[in-house]
Amino acid sequence: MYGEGDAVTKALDDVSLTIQQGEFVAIVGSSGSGKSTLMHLMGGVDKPTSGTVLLDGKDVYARSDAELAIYRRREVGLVYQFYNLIPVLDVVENITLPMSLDGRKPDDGELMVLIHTLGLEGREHHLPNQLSGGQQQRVAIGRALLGRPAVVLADEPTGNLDSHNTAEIMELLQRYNKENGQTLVVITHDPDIAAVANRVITIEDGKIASDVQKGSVS
Amino acid sequence: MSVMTSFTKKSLLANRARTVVSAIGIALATALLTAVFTTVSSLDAALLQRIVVTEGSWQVHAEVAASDTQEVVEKLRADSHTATVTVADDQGITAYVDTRLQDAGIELVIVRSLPYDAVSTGEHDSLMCMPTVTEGRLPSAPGEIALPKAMKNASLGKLSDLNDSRFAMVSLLASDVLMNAQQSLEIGSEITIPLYGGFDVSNLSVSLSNAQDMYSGGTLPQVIGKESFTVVGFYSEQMYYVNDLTGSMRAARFALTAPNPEAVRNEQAVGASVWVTTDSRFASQTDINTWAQSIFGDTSYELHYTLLSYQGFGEGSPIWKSLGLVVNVLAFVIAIAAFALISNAFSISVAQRTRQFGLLQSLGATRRQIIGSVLTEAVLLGCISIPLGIVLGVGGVALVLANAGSFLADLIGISGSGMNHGIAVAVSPQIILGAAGFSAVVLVLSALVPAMRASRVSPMEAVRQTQDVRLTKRALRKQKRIAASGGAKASHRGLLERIFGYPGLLAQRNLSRASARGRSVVASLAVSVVLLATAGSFSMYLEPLSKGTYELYGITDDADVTVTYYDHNEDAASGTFAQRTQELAQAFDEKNALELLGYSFGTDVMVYLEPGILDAREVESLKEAGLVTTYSGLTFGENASFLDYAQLVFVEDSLWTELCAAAGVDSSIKDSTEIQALGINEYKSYRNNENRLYKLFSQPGKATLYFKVSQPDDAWISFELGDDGSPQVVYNHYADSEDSSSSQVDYSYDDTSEHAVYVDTGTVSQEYLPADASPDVTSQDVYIIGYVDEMPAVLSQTTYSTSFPALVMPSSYLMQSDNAFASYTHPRANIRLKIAQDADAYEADEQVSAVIKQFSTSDSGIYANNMSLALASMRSLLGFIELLAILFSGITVLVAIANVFNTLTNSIILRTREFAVLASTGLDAKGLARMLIAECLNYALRGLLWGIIGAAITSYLLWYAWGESLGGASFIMPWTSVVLAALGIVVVLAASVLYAIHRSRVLNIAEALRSDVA
Repeated sequence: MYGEGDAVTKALDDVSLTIQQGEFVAIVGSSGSGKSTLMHLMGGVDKPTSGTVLLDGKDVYARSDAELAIYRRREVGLVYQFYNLIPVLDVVENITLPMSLDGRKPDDGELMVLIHTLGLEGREHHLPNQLSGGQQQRVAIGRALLGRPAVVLADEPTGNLDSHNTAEIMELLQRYNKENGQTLVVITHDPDIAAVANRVITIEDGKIASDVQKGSVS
Repeated sequence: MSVMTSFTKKSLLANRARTVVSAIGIALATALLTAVFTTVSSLDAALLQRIVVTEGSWQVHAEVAASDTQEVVEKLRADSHTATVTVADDQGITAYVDTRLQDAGIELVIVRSLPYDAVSTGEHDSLMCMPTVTEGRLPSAPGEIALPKAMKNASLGKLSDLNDSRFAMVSLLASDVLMNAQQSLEIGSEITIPLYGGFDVSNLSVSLSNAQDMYSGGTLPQVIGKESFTVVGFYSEQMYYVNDLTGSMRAARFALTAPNPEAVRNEQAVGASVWVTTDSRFASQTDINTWAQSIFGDTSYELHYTLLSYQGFGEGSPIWKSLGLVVNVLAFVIAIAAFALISNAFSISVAQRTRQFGLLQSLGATRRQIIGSVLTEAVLLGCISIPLGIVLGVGGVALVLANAGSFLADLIGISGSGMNHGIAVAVSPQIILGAAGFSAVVLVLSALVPAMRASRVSPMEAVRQTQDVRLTKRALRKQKRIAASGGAKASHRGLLERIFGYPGLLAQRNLSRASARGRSVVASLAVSVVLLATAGSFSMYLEPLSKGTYELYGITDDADVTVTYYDHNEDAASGTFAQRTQELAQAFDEKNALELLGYSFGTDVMVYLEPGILDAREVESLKEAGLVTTYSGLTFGENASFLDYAQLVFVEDSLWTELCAAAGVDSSIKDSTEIQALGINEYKSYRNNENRLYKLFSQPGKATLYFKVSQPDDAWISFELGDDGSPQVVYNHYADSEDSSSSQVDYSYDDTSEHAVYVDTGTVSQEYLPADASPDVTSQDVYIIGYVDEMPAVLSQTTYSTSFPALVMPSSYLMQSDNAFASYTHPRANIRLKIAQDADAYEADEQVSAVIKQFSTSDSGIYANNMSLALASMRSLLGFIELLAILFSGITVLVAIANVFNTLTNSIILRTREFAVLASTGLDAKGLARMLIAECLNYALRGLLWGIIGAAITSYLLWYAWGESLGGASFIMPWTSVVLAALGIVVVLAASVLYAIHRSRVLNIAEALRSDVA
C-alpha cells in the first residue's frame, strides 16, 4: 500500500509507505502529526489532494463514488476512538451495518461467534446509549471485523477505555489479525500497544520519522 | 452569569450559520404577524378614509327644527362626550321656474348656510363632505350664494310660463314670490330670493312630483323674508346619496350661503342640520345610540353606520361581526405558525449544542446557568431579530401597498374618491408592541423548554450525544422479551424496508427510535398544511360570502338602479303594459349616463299542478318539517298535487334561452296551444337554526293557471281542491244584506285546533264549482318542460312572496294576443339599470327622473331605487376581504415553505455526523437517498394526516366565524388546498432530500467525524 499526501494544511507531506497483507502496524506520533489523516486516506473516506492510495495495486480513489462506497463496505473496517455507532441501531444492526448495506446477510453462526467473542451476549438488541464505553467500542470493532475486510483501521481504539478494556480490545484485534490474516493498522499513543505490533511507524509533522519492523509476519 | 453570557455570545458567533437560521426564523415570524396586522390596519384606515372622503366624518346627524336648534346646540356644548359639532342652518325654502324647461315644473330650493363649528369657533367647518364646486367658489360673506350647476344659465320665469298644470300646489304661491333674477344665471348675477318658513323642512318628502306633501304638516308655508344675493359659484349636486352637504332625501335643491351662526339665535332659520362627532370613549354603537337619543330626544337622528363600523363600532351587521371573528381565527392560525417557526428554530439550535451543555455541566455549570445561557441567547437573538422582523413586516407591507397601490385602491373601491394616491401604511404602536411582545414570549417559551431538557441531560449522555434516542415503553418491553428468550433473532421486515431495502430499515429505525427528532418536522408540515388549507377555505368562502352579503343587503345583482313599474289600471291589457315597459326600458337605455341591463315581469297567479310533477317524498318531508301550515301559501292535495298561488316571471328571450340551456331543454318559443315554462327548483326554509333546501319539482308536466275574469256581485271567489282532487272555484256567499244586523260574518277562534284558525260560524255559505266550469275564471295550460336549480339573481327583485312554485316564461308571451297572459296577468315590471362608466351620478339621477316624469300617468307607478352607494360600499368591503385573502394566502405560503425548509435543513445539519458514519461504513448516495426518501415519506404522511385534522378544525372555525354572512352556505372542506399542500409537501421534501444528498456529496467524512459540533 502506498500513500502520499499534500493537503493545503499539509497534514501529510510526501509520505510513502507500503503495508503487507496481514501486517499489524502501529502508527504513532504526537497530536496533529497527521496520523488520523493517514488512516482516513487508507479508509477511503478522505481523498488525498495529490498522490494515490493503492490496494492490491488498484487506485482506491480512482473509483467512482458508488465504487468507493463498496470499497468501504467490503475492503476496510474502521474503528474510531469515539465509536461512532449509529444511535438508532441496536448492537446486531450496528455490527451488520456494512454487510447489510452491501445487501448481504451475515452468517448467523459467524455472527453469534463474533458477538460471543466480543462479550456482547444478551445485549444484542441494546441501543448504543444502553451500553458502556467498552461495550460500545466492542460493537464498533465487531462492525469493522464482520465480513472480514482485508484491512482493519483503528484510530485510537482504546483512547477512551480503561486498562482492562484496553487489553481485551487489543487482544481481540490481534486475534483476528493472526487468525484471519486481516491487515491491522492501529493509530495510537499507547507505547504498550505499539510494543505488540509487528511494525511501528512514527509520524512527525506529516512525515515519516521512523519505520521499525520488529519481526516476521505471521 | 457573566462567564455564561460571554460564553453564549461566543457560541452565537462561532455557529454563525445556526444563529442566522434561528434569527431568520424569529424575524420571519415577527414580520408575518406585523405584516398581517399592519395590512389589516392600513386597509381599515384606507376604508375609513374612503368613508370620510365620500360620506364625511360625522357620527350622528339630525335635522333639527328651528325652535329646537338652540337647545340642541346648548346640550351638545355642555355634554362631555361631544367632540365636534357643525351646524348648517336652513334659512327657508324657496322655488323657481326655469323657462328653459317648461315641462319640468317648479323646483324647490332650500337656502342653507355652509356648516360652521357650533361649539367653539363659529367659523366654517364641516364634518360633512362639501359639494364639488364646478365654477367660482363657495360663499364666504353674507350676501353671497352658490347654486347647483343645474341652475347655471337658467332664466327664472313665472308660474304662467309652465306648460304643465300637474303641480297644482304651486298655484298657492303667488308668482311674485318665486326666485327672481334680471338675467340668466351666471357668476355675478344678482338674485332675489323670497324665503318661506313656518313649517318643518325635515317633513319635505322624497319626490318632487309629490311636493304637495310639503303641506302634510297641515301648515301652509309663509313668507318670512326676502333677501338678495350675488351668485359666486356653482356646484355639482349629489342627489341620491346623503353624502355631502347638498345631498338630502331629494326634496329640493340647495342654495348655499355663508355660515351665519346668528341666524339660529335670532330664530330666523326654519331648521338646521347638525352633524356631531363624539370623543372615542363609547364602547359600542348602542352606547352612541343611547347618547344620541339623550341629546336629540324625539327628533329623528341617524347614525353613520358605515363610518362607525370602520371605527370599530361594527355591531349589528353580520358581516362585521363575522369579520371580527375571522380576523381572530386568522390571528390564531398565524400565532400557531409563528410559534412553530420560532420554537423549531430554537429547539434545533439547543439540541445541536447538547454536547456543549454536557461539557459545561461536567465543568461545574449549574442547571440554572445552563438555562440562563439559553435564555441569554434567546434575548440576544430577540434583540436583533424582533426589530428586524418588524422592519421587514412594515417595510414589506409598505412595498406591496406602494407597488400595488392603485390596484388595491381599485379593488377596495377607493379610487376615484379623491384618494388616488393609493393606500398609506398605517403603523400602529399597538400592533408593533403586540407582535414584538408575542414573538418575545414565544421565543422565551421555546428557548426555555429545550433548555430545561438540555439541563437535565447528564454530562456523559450529552458527550455521547445519543440522548435523543429513546425507546418507547413498548420497544423496551420487546427488547426485554427478546433478551429473555436469548436469541439474536432478526425482527420481521417492516413496510419501509420492503419498499426501500436496507436503507428503508435504517429509516424505520430512525423514525421509531428517534421519534422526537421527526416530531418537529411532522409538526411543521402539519402547520403548513393547516396554513394553506386555512388560506384555501378563506378564499373559498369569498364567493358565497359576497353572495350572502349582497342578499343580506338586498342587493342581488350588479344593477345600480332598479326601477319598478306597475299599472294600477286593471283593465289595461298586459300586452300593452309589456310594450310600454319595453319603451320605458328603451328610454332609459337611450340616456347617455344609463345602461340597460335588462328587464323582467313578475306576478302571482293561481296554479294547479297535476300529480306527478312534484316529488311526493319531498312534499312529505316538507309536511313533516311542519312547513305546510294554513299560512304557508302551500296547499298540497293527494299524490302531491298542488293548488295555490305561484309566481310567474316573464324574462327577456335571451335569458330564457340561457335558462333553457341550463335546464337542458329546447328553448324555442311555442304558440299558445303549447306554452312552455321552466320551474325554479329552489324552496328554502329556515327553521330551528337550520337552512334546508327542498327540491320539490321532479317531473315535467302540465300546470293549469287560473285567472279571475269577473267578480260576481254576491260572492267572493277562492280556490280549493275538491274531494276528487280537481281544482274547484269556491263561491263564498255573504249572508243576505237585509239580515246583516243579525247575522254578520263572524269568525271566532277555534281553540281546539292546533293552529290559530278562524272558522266560519255559518253565516257564509259556500258553493263549489269545477274550475273549468266557472264563468268567472279562465284558465291557461302551461307545460313545465324542465327545471333550473336556482332563481337567477337578476330576477330576485321581481319576486315578492315565497319562492315556490315559481315558473319562468319568455316575455314574448305577454305580447301575444292569443293567450290568457296578454289579457289577464297584471305584472309588475322590473327594469335594471347601470350607471355608465365615467358618468356622473348626478347626471344619471337627473336622467332617471326625467324618464320617469315622461312616462308617468295617473294610473301607473314608477319607482326608482338607486343602490349605487350601497353597492360601492359593499364592493369595497368585499374587495377588502378578498385582498385579505390574497395577502393571507401569499404570506402563509411563504411561512409554510420557510417553516418546513428551516426544520428539514436544520435536522439534516444535525445529522451530519450520522451521515458521515454511515458513509464511512459504506452507505452510498443512492442508499442515503433511499433512506431519506423513506423517512420523508413517513413524515409527509404523518404531517398530512395531522394537517388535515388541523385544517378541518380551522376551516370549521372559519366557516363558523363567517356564520350568517355566508347566507346559509354549508361547510366545505378545502380539499383543493389540502391537495395543493400535499403536493407542496412533496416538493419541499424532495428539495430537502436533494439538499441532504448534495451536502453528503460535498461532505468531508473525515472532517465530519472529527467535528465537535455535529
